[in-house]
This record gives sequence, C-alpha cells and structure tokens, in this order.
Amino acid sequence: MKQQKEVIKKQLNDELNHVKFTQHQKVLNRTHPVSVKGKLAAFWNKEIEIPLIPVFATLSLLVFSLGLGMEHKQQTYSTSRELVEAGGNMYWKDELERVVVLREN
Amino acid sequence: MVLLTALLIQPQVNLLLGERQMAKGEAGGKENVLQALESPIFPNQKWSLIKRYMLDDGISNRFDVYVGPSSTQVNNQSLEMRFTWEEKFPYLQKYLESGPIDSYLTTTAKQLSFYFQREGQLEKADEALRQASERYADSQYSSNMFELESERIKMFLKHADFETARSLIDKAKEKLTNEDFQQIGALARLEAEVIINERGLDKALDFTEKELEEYQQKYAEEQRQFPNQNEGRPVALEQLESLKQHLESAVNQNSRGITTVKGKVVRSDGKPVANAGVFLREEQSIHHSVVEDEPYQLVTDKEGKFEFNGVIPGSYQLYLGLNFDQIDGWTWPVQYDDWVEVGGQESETLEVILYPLLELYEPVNQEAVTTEKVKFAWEEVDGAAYYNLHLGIDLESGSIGTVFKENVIGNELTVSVEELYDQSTGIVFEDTEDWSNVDPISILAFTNTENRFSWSVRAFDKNGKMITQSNGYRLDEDTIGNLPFFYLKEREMTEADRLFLDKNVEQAYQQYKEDYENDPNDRHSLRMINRLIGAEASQRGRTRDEMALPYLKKWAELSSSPETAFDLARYYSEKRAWKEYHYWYNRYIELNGGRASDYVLGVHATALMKQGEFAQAKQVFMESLESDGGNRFIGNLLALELYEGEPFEVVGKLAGKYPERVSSLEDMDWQRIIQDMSIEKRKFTDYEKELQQVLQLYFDDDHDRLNKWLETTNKPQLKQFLMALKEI
Repeated sequence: MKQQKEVIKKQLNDELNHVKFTQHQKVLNRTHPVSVKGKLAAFWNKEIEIPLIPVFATLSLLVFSLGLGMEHKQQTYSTSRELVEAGGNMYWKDELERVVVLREN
Repeated sequence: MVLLTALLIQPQVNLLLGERQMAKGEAGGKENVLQALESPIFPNQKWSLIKRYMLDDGISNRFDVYVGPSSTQVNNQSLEMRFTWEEKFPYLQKYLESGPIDSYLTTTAKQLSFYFQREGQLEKADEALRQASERYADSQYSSNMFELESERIKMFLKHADFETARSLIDKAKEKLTNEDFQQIGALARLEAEVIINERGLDKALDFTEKELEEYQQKYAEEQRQFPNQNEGRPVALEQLESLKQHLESAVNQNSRGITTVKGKVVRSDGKPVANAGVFLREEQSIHHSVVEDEPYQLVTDKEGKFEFNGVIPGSYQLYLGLNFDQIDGWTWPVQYDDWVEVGGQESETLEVILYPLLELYEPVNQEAVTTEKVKFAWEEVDGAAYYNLHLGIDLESGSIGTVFKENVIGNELTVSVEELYDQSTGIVFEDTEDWSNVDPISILAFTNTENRFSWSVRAFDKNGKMITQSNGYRLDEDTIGNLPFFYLKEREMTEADRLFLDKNVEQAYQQYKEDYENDPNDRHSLRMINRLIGAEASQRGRTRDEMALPYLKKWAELSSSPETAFDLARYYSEKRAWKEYHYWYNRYIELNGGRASDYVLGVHATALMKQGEFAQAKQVFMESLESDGGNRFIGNLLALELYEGEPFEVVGKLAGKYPERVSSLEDMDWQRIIQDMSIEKRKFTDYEKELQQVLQLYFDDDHDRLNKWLETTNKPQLKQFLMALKEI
C-alpha cells in the first residue's frame, strides 16, 4: 500500500506537471516553433506572461481516491465561496461581482 | 418519550442539518457540526464527522496558499469551513486515544505532532506519533506504523537530535525484512542525514552510494519478477539518487559540510508573521506542488523565525505557506529566478518581508478610455527607483499578460493609445493543426474595443529587486481596492475586425490586405497582417518566408513595439546578415528605452560570437548572466572560453557558478559535461585542437560539416557538448 501510494504520488506529480505545462503551451505556441526552448524564448524574453494559474490542491484527496482505484475527479466538497483570478488578482467571486456592479453605477 | 426525542432525535436532526449546511457552505454549518459532536450521537457517526471535516484535507493542505518563485498553489477551502486548532484539538486527541484504527489515525497523529512542534512541545509531539504507532501494533497496518516511525525520525533530525534519530532508525531497521526494500531505501535517506552531521559529507556519500546500489539491485530484481507492475519510479529511489547527486557535487566543490538556513518572516512594518509555513525546496521538486515527502519544512514561531539545521549543499527555492488572512492585501515580492545557494557555508540567513499591495489610481473600475492619450497613475512606493507596467487581456479561459513598459520613473505614465494598440501578446490557438483556428481576442489584443483589459504595476528598488506589486490576494472589502480593469474605446472596429472576431480568419486576412493596398497609411491593417502572418508561420512550422518579410519590415519601421524590431534582428541573425542584424538590434535598443532585456543580451552576445567578435561577446555574455537568473546562454560562453584555450578546470568552475535553469525538465548540467570532457581528453592527443575545430563549425553555423562530424566522431563526451550547444 505504501509503495503503491508512493507510485501514485509520483504519477500525480507528473500529471500536475503536465497540466501546468499544457496550460503554458497553449499560449506559448508563438512565432518561432523550433524546440521547446525555442517556444520558451518568447516567454523568456518576458513578452508573454502567463498568470500563475493556481493548481487547486487536491493532492491528498486524489492520492486517497486513486488508491481505491477510482477515476480522477475534482474534489468539490466544502467550497462555499469560489476563488477567481481576474486581472492578475485573486478575488472571492461573489465579492468581485458585487463590487463590479457597485462601481459601475 | 419527550426526553428521548430531545436526547436522541434532536442530535440526529442537528447532524443532518449540519451536514446539509456544510455542503452548502453556510457559516452555520461549522457550528452545527461542533454541536453534533458534543451531543450523544453514535460513536461511528462522531468519528466519521471528525474524519470528514477535520482530517480529510490531510496534512499537506495545511495552508490556503503556497507561494514561491516557481509557482503558486491555492487551496480553495473557505475560511468559514475551516476548524481552528482550538476547535479541532480536543477531537483529534480523542481520535488519537480511541478512534478507529485506520489510516486516518496516522493523519491525526501527524496533525497533532505538527501542532505540538509549532508550540515548541517536542515531547508531546513525539508522544502523539508514538501513541498512534503503538495503537497500530497489533493490526495489519504495518505501513502506517512505518510512516509514523519515519515521522518521528524526521522530527528529531529537524531538531538536531541525531542520537535519538539514530536509535529510532536502528529500531525501525530491526523490524524490516529483506523484502521491505522500499522502506529500507527510505530509512537510508534519513540515515544519510545523520551521517552527514556526525561524520561529514565524504562518509555520507560512501554510505549513500552503497545503499543506492543495493536498492537498485533489489528494485531490478522486483521488476524482473513482476514486470507488469512497473507504474513509475518509487519515491525512495528518487530521493536516494538526488541525495547522491547533491553529495557528489558538494564533495566535488570541496564544500566542507552542511549549513544552517535560518531567517525571519516579517511584514514591512516589522510585525512578525507567526505560524507561516516555510519550505526549503530542492531543485528537482519545484515543478510540482509542495508535498509531505520534501525534507525541509517548518512553521515560523511567534517571532516569525525559522531555522533549518543540516541542509545539504545544493540549490533551493524558498516557499511560504500562508493562510488567506495572512496574505490578504499583502505580497511577498518573490521573483522566478530567486534561488538559495547552499554551498557548505556555516549558516545562511534569509529575510522574508511581506509588503502591502500597491494601489492603482487610473484607469480603474472598468472605465472606458476614449482619448488619444492614456494616463496610468498609481500609488507611490517608498524606496522605489522605478516601476514596470504590465497589461492583461481577458480571454474566454482566463487571461494573458505582457510587460508593457519597464523602468518607468515616477508614479504615472502617459502614452499614446497607439502604443497600446501596437502591443502584442501571445497567440492562443484552439487547434494546433489549423492555423485559422487562432483566437481573435488574443491577436486583436488592445485594438479590440469590446474586450476588457487589465493592468498592474510592480515597484523595484535601485538594485532591481522587486519591492511590491499591485497584484495579489484581494479578498476583503478593505483590500479589494480599485479594480484594475479598463476598456479602450478610442477607435472604431473595421469591417475586417468584425470578420475576424466572427472567426472568418481567411476572409479577414484578405480584407486587411486589401485595406492596406488601398491605403498605405492604414496602420491597423498592416499591424493585423503581421500578426496573422506570424500566427500562420508558427502553426505551419515555418519561419517567416520571404513573402512575409516586406510587411514585417514596413511594420517594424512604423511600429513603436521593440519586440517587432527584435523579431527582425533575430531573423537576420539566423540568416547571418550581420549588417541588417545590427540595424534592427540598435532599433530595438532605441525603442526599448536604451537598454536590452537579459534575454536579448544573450541573443546579442551569441550573434557577436558568431561574427568572431569574441572579446565583445564575452563581455555581453557576462552582462546577461549577471542579470539573468536562468543563465540561459551559459553554454555559449563556455564554448567561447574553451575555444580560446581556457583550461577545463577553470571553465568547469564557471559552469558551476552559473548553472542553467531554463526549464526544470530539460536543463543541461554543463559542469558535468565539461568534467566528462576533461576526463575524455586524457585519452587523446590533439583533443583541444579538435574541440576548437568543431566549435568553429558551430560558430560558423556550418551545419553540414558539424552534423557529419557528430555522426562519425569517436569522442562521445565532446559530442555530448556539441549536441548540448545545438540545443541552446
């Protein structure tokens, strides 16, 4: 079980890594597609910034559920207020929506 | 009868209500759960409530936010749902004493131990782990027991009690058989730490090599027996390998021992940040989220202090774990290339200071700008030498940003709206096969009068260190501040823009071309033609063809964007057309406020190297390395030094001083490559001469002859070096 858990954790790390990578990839496909580093060049030159997309940490939960042979799924329990990224800031979604309406008037 | 209802039925209703409200996330839910726990419900209901609401988030999700140079991680669990330590504590104690014997017991003990350690009560912390471990003793949960025993060992290591750690390791070993090699590997990692402290790095390296070898043998054996179980590399193996690598490089660099890394987490007004998580993360760990297995994890004390003892030499990044109320309205101005270099010095002191977020003044709160000039204004920051302005575009699936102006002096900036229009961002594709699937929102960028934009500011001191920024956590009425959003409604969308927005990409492209032919002063059409040509070339895997060049040159002359000039400079450097290269490089410098970014400096130094301007190239490489934490171009400088006859030993040291850190996935270990070459050299005469000849081919971009040499050479290490250079 311990070994299995470790293997799963490793896989999960790889998967998280992959998730981040594809998100970057989507915007990094820019003008000089030579190699991965070539693609990173635009990023490196700070022409492009990708907001640090929060990886909602469901790590321990995922490890646990995978251990039972279940499918990947996003854990949604006890998320009463949703966090959103907007303009590079993190807001509570309901608070942001309230203030947007308030300031527009 | 009435009494029975009150005692038994009422609590059941409470429980139901509590759970329902918890699911809806209402604040009352927590209160009801606590009430239910205090009422006479069945024990298994009680335990399952504790599991669900106090233990299910494990121990790694201890903080709302994990922030560090390479990533930010957020736990989306709201404040009202979280039980405080004071609330949780009695229930966890109960679980530890008499809760069911399952894997939650381990989590309980770890949480309690973590709590006691934070309070400085080491004995109690150990006692919690020991108690749980003993409760497992007669059951089938031997792996949980091992986990708890390891946790105890780690705790004593953390607090520099090596004697106790050693005796616990010996005891744990006694219980293991030859088949438990995973556990043996994990213990070896801990034992190595004891050896480092007691007998030094050399002995620890010998020990680690031996243990790794044994582990690898058994692992290979297991894989032979169960070939289908190969699902990934075990953690213990990775840890041993990484330890060996670290120790080797520390021994090679003659570092004498291990280091104490200590410091303080405070706010800019001097108030300490207590109970913040501090994580000293190894280089190979930073591309994933913070996990329990990483060795250096602490929580700050009441004065915000932390101290890691016995840190092995290597490169680390510091991460913080904070709760929303600690980070809300504040920022830790960490930059992506911030590293902690531990090289065997006795101690390393780090200062972590949180600063209040800076306020934006205008344009804000979704204001529509309709004038030809746009004024940006923001709060002045004490000690700021200059500011950088960033712009962002809302996309369907998030946002994309770009640096707009760097080195702005003073706390306002007025630009012409054309400068905003000229600013391109990344190009987003829906489908990587079909170039006409580009997302028009990302390509129209700031010329789109219908889309919402955002902006942000970062403040820097005179040494180029970030002080604070406008972006961060703005969760409260008091911290939400001005919203950084605005619209640009100065221009009107053209017919071609409309076509493009409706995703008629080919048609729009033709329309832009037609409009430009009819009116050579039509800046916008020329701008869009260039952006679309760029997208097409990128998607089809081609560099810009000759057809695109006339448009690009015309646009580069008109455009105020330094990136366009740099694009052309790079195009000509690939063509080795040096006269044109210098023209466009100088134009880039002019448009970029008289300075080059560290990345462009590296490209420029490479161009100089390829022209044979070695002395100047070296100087520019050094400039680039000094400002670029990623040391992206170090390989070329090493090539240059070797070409000019510098000894391998000297060049190897240079490689060690500036390790490449572009992407954690495929960085070159230049120091090792140079070292391998210096060993290979001994077997050949004229090695240096051949090195010089092939480097000449590399400088000359003589791909045919270089590839031929790569195919036929009998010097694998030299080949490895040239292959690595080709990857830069």
